[in-house]
This record gives sequence, structure tokens and C-alpha cells, in this order.
Amino acid sequence: MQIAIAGNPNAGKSTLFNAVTGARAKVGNYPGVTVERKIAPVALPSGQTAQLIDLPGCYSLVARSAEEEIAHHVLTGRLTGERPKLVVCVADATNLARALYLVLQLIELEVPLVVALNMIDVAEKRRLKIDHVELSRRLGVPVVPLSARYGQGLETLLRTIDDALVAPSKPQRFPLGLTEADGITIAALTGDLKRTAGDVTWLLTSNLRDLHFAENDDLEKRVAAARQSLDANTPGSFSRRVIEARYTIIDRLIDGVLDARLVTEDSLTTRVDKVLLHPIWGFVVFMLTMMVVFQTIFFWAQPFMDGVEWLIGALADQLNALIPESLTRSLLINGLLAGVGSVLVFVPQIAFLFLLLTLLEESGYLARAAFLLDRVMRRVGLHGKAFVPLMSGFACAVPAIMAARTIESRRDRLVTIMVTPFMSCSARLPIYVLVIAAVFSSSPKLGGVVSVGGLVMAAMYLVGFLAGLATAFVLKRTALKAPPPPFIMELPTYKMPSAKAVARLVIERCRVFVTQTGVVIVALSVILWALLTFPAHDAATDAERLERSFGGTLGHVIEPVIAPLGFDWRIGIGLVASFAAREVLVSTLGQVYALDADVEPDSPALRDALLADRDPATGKPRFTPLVGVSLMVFFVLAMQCLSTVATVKRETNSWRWPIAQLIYMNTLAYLASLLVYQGGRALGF
Amino acid sequence: MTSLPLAASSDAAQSTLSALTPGTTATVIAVDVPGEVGERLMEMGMTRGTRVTLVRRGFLGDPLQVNLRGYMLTLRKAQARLIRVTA
Repeated sequence: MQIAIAGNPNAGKSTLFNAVTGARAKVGNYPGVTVERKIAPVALPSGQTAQLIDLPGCYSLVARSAEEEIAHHVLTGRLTGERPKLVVCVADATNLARALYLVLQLIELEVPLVVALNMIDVAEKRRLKIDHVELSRRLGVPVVPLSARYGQGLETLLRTIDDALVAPSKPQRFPLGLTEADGITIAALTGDLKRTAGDVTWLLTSNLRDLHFAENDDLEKRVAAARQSLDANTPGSFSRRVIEARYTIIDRLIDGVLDARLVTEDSLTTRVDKVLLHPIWGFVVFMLTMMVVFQTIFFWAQPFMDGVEWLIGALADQLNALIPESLTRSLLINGLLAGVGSVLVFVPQIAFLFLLLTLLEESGYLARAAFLLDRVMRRVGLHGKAFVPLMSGFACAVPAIMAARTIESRRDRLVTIMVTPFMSCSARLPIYVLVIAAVFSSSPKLGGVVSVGGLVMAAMYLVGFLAGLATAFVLKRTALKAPPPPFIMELPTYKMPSAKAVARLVIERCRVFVTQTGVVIVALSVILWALLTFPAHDAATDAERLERSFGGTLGHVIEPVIAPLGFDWRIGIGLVASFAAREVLVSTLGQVYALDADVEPDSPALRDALLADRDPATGKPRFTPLVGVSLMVFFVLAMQCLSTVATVKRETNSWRWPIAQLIYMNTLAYLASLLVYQGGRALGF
Repeated sequence: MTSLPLAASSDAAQSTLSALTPGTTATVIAVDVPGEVGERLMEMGMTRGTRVTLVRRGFLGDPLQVNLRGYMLTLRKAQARLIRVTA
């Protein structure tokens, strides 16, 4: 038996869900779309157990976004074939009119309904009086005042649910008061399609073209024809007449039920917003907040990541000592354990980022940040909320891409996911350090103060950032063409996030990453291990094994392709290996040059080996500053991170986007490096 | 699109939401924002007869923050310009 929870965003839907289920919810995606589905069992006072489904938060059921479409399809049973036995609509008591807009639509769809009038404590504090008994009488639906946050009224709600399951309420009918002409067209279509009037109104007001679960063509045509004839009637379009009619009903419903004569504004929100939305102070606070977020994922997560790496290293040492040298040992340590390690090493960053992000979102600050940044982000066609993922991308693309979940519009979220990996993440840093130590460390300081190496490094960060913005700009005009997001967004009142809810969400995100993304990462890293081990797995030295492996052969094979970028086969092997993770380039080059694999990126031994490498034909050094820059530019732009690919796959729920991203970024990287190297040569560098 | 005359007499104090001075309140008389964006605004409660207060303008005057039906909403100047109001 299913019970669905519906409600506006910020109405406290998740809080109520958590409060009545208690147990950990199962989180997954709805089939075919990237909308999260949460299900948990709830024990009712009668002894029955029901499955509680948390619907995506929405203001309306008219399908314009994936969230609204899913909500509608779950409610009507179109998605799973099972109609929920009951729908609990969470209504924010401090926002009654807008909550009733959703309630009215639920009544139109004829779903059995209970209204949970949430945040009644806040409403009382603000001296907002609601006669819930009268509201219930007028709606013909049980209305239970409660505070999900403080656990008040939950028992009454559960008892009401029990009662409603036995004897469903009889909601009042609320005729939309449409004209006779409208009525005739709708009645004709209702008979024609054999659907309820509510369902027909939904079809007529929804945008069926862009929906995921397409209706059949014939139905679509009939609906389109009916809509055309309805839109010809006046005043306004049919959709607008329906919306106005609903609000007319709402105004009548709340007249005498809602007493707002003594209402006080939320003074905390008003005062805080004076600072946080201030054109100057707002930006100062925002920058400070972002600095804390960045510091957290870049530096504070470091000790934990070091800890994970130490643990994996210690485990590898143990296995090394326990198992004799063999292919199995190599698979265990260099394939499986390395894969598991590269999954776990992301967990501290994901945990920290989501801790902060959840605090920012739950408190209501994220909506303010979006308000401040809207003007800037709109230029490239991104939503104000895209700033946090982009910023986090400078630390690591994996949690950053997961953070794009805060963006509601699917297209805007996809654009953000596509460009986030261009931000120079911490894994690119060792490459920059390696190259700069090798070819720029001896350059004289510009003007005696500015180090060339530092300047080159800053330029690399800038190149990635600009490439990301340019890509967003192009994507919004081509593949993900959409008008700039309209930015019609609620600014919720500030709330203290609940520690339990935040902890739950952070744990959930980490768990999903380890179990779902992690599996893909481990599998891919075992494949890569095989590529770099076979067929010369019994070679005498690591350098020889690597050179004669499939990956090594590939390094040789691609040499003609990468030679125009200034790379030889040694870097070629490094490029192949660094698809596991960018920083692997350093250890691979260490092995290729027959040094220790544990080599540090700025080690003098590796630098000397690189600089001593000369072209046998000309006798000139191979690794010139120009080759270095070309290599860095390649790493800035290329997608060389299995974990990111796996994360994009999981977040977009398809292989299409990660593969497109892989091809696009690597082509761009190749062309840019080609331009740098050939251009540099032509200029005499 | 939905320029719906409220009454036969035209009000002299007509203006648009984007032209309001921050802190002032007015009544919506027509939402002329075309397409789905206009419908979305109306679903959020921006319908004829609603009292709307312009709370503040964002950095360089855009986007706008308004108060209607007891809650805060943001929208861009481009849309607010197409919402006709009267004092």
C-alpha cells in the first residue's frame, strides 16, 4: 500500500517524511529521469504498514518540469501502475494561499487526500490565525495542524491517515467557473478520451511535447486541437483562465479562515536580508562563504584524504607481505585496492561539501546567493545556483557535479554538469607542479618579484574557467537550447537546519556515491590495470612491463597523433594511464623513466630525468617549456577522470552525457594543445 | 497576451511592477508576460487583484524581490516590466 507525500518546495515535506518514517529511506531515481525518489515504510496506529513515497516538491501539477510531471504520474498511478491509496499534501501554514493551489489540483485529480498544515508553530508565533476546522469543512478533506520540526501533531496525522484509509473523505467539488464554450469543449474531450474532467484539464494545461513519458500521438493531436479551440475563447489563454479561476476559489476558501490582521512579518528574515541581499555587503558575505566552502574541500578534507590513502597504502603493504609476487597480487593491489582507494578518497570531500551545501540550502541562504549572482550567471545562460557547483569544481568535480542537484531545471542542471569538469581540480595540481618544477623553476622572476611558474599556474586556472563559461554559452544556444531560466524563485524564510536531517543527507550522499558510483570506478580501474599489465605481465622491470603492455603499446601507437602536440610515447603512456585519474601521470612517468612509482611531482630526480631526455635525431631536449605548456593545457581541458565519468553517468542517469563530455573535452584539449605547440613553434619558442 | 481590462474606466495611476519604488505596494491588474513564464508567475499567485510589494532590487537593479500573498518571490525586470499594476 502506497501513501504519497506532496507539497510545495520549502513546505517541510522532507522533515515530515523523516519525522514519521524514522527509518532510513531508500533513495533512488525514478525510471528514465534524474528525479530522486525516496521511499520508506511507515507504521500506522492501526498496525498496518504503508510505503511512504516522497514526491518531488512542486508548486503545481501542470507538467512543465520533470519534477512536476513525475509528481503527477505517481499520483495518477501512470508511472508504476499503482495509484497511491492516499495523498498527504503538506501545506505551509504561513503560505496558505499558494499551498491551496496545489491542494485544489489534487482535489481536481480526485485523489484521496489529507492536508497536513505544517509549521503551525511558526504561524502562531507570527500571530497568523487559521481556522483549520472550517478549512477542513470547506474543502471536505481532513486538515491536521502540525509542526513536523517539533514532532507536534504527528500522532493525530497518522490516526487521520488510518481513518481516511478506511473511509475516504468526500472532497467538495470546485467548479472552475469556466464559460459555457469552454465547458462544451472539455465535456466533448472528456467523453472522447474516457478520462476524468480533472485529468483532461491537466492534459490541456500541460506542455506535452517536452514530457518524458509521451502520450500517444493521437491523444496529443486531439488535446492540441481542443486547446486551440479553447485558446480562441476569451479572456486570456485557457491555461490562464484556469489559473485565475483556481485563485478565485482560493480567495473564497481563505476568506474567514485565514486571519492575517495581526500578522507580523518574519522580522529575523527581514533584518538578515537587509545585509545578505545588500548590493555590497551581500557580495562580501557571499565571497566569505564561498571561501569557507572552498577551503573546506580543498584543505580541511586533506587530512582525511591522507588518512584514507595511508590506510589503503598500509593495506597494500600487508597484502604485499602476505601474498607472494603473482598476477593475483598485482590484480588485488594495483587493480582492486587502487580502485577502492580512489573511491574512498573522494568521500571526505563529498561529506564536507554536502555538509556545507545542505546547511546553506536548508537555512535558506542558497536562494539568496542565487539572487545575488543571477545577473552575472545569466550572461552565460546559467542559473544563479550554478555558482556553487562551479566553485566546488576547483577542488573536485565529483562532489561538485553532485552539488548541481540544487538546480531545478533539467537543462540548466545538465549545462552545469557539462562545464564543471573544466574547473582546475586538485588532481590537476600535481601536473602543474611537475611541469613548472621541470621547465619554469629556473626562469628569472619578472620584475624581480613575479615568478613565471606562478603566473603560468594562474593562467591554467583561468583557461579552464573560461573554457567552461564558453562551453556553457555555446551549449545554451545549441544542444541544450533554452531561454535563460526565468528566475521565478521563492525566497524562503530563514530556518535553523535540523542536525538530524543534515546528517542524514550527508550520509545518504556518501553512501550513494560509494555504492553506485564506486562500483563503476572500481570496474573501470580494474580494466585499466589489465591494460597496463598485459601481455607483458612477467617482464623483469616495471618500466619494461609498462612499455610492452597494451597501454604502453597504445602510447607508441598514438605517438604520431600526439607528436604534433609535442608529446612522445612516454607522455603517451602517461596520458593513457592518467585516464584513471590525472595525478597518475606523475607516478606513470616515474615508472617510464624507471624511477620509483612513489615519486613526488616536484622531485629533482623526475625533473632531471625529464630534462635529460633528448631527441635522438637532433640531440635537443624533448621536454621544452613549450612542451610543458602544451601538456598543461591538455590537462586543463581534457576529461581524464574515471570518477567524474562515473558520477556524470549516475547523475544524468545515462551514458549519453558522460560520453559526449568525454569526446568533447578531449577533442578540445587536443586542438588547444595543437594550437599552443604549433603556434609556439611558429613563433620561435 | 492576457491584457484583461478590469473595468471600462482606465485608471490614471497605472504603472508596472518594475517601475514601483522599493517599499511600495500596488495591485496587479494584468500579467502580460507571455508563454509559460507568465503562467508560472500566475501559478505562484501573481493574479489580477493581488497586492504586491516591491521589496528590493538586486545588484544593478535586477532581479527584483517582491512580496505577495505573504511570501517572498524573485523575478527579473524583463518580466516585472510586463506586469501592470495600479496603486
